[in-house]
Amino acid sequence: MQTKVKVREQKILLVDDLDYNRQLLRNNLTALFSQQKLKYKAFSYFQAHNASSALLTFSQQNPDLVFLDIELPDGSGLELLKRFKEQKPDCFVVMVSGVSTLDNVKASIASGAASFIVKPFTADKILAVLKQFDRYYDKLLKTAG
Amino acid sequence: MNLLFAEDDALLAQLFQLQAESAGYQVVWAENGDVAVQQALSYQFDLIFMDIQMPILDGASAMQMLRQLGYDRPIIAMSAEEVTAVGFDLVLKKPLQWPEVQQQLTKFKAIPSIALELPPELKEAYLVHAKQSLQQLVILAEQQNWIDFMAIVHQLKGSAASFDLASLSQLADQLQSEWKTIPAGQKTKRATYFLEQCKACKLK
Repeated sequence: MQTKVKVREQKILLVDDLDYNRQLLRNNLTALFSQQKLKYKAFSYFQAHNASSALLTFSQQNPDLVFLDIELPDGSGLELLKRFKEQKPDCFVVMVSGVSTLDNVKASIASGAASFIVKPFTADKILAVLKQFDRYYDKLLKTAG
Repeated sequence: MNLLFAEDDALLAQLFQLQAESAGYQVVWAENGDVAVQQALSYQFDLIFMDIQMPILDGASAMQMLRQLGYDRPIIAMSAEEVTAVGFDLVLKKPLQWPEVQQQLTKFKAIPSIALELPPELKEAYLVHAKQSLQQLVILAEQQNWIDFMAIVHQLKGSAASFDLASLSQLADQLQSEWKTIPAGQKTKRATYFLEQCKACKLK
């Protein structure tokens, strides 16, 4: 039997300079939340198209889940990752990049990224991340009591 | 089932590929741990075979990196020595014996793949954007403004394949990887060639 856990609505922040990428990601997140067996599926969405607006939105909204593109027009997603983790250490940050160099992957892990998606987007990659978030958030709630 | 075979010995990889493919498996070869990590993050493999001793990044470190990033699909270690790293689903002794490998493979299942949802109006909007980008590239090439030119190429590379335009993404990827090695005097010629290739893609 499924037990219902009452949790507040969570927040997702999508950071990508290309509007179409954010739309595509949002579309597929919504689709996966409705089709797949995921525990946490009530999210409100926030978007940012560059590093400075991402920082601002992050501070205002304190999101639980972030999809963060590494290559932003006004800065590196890796720098943002550090700032996000300082502000909210339990934030689940997924790095997104067109180039998965070993340096990028290593730096992401070192700065506390929870996951790494190599573009192009596929539903399998996004779902893998959401399942991971489910496990992560369960653990987080347990530790918080 | 889709298998990723990470092994620096090309002959061993070829042998495995022959055996596995004749048994109906699809195999992609990764020649070191770095390539294995990048390939694994595409999430298109049901199972990874990981050699332990590999250049650039060894198999145990590659597995650990993937696990740190939440990769939860099965990874099988292959080694002549004992494997102490925690995180592998299975360890196979090298040299591999195909009958044993095949028997072990039956324990693993193919992971169903889900299609990306691409609403037609979003694809259409992206197509318009891509065409505008290509027009911009023509102007930037004439001005020999290579910094802005390559910034757009980079964006096309990262986005086009998500919108069902894999060929455009590949062309951009190819140009980007070659770009640094192209002498300044040859850049216009290479850029023109790239733009012609894009035109031949017939975006629709």
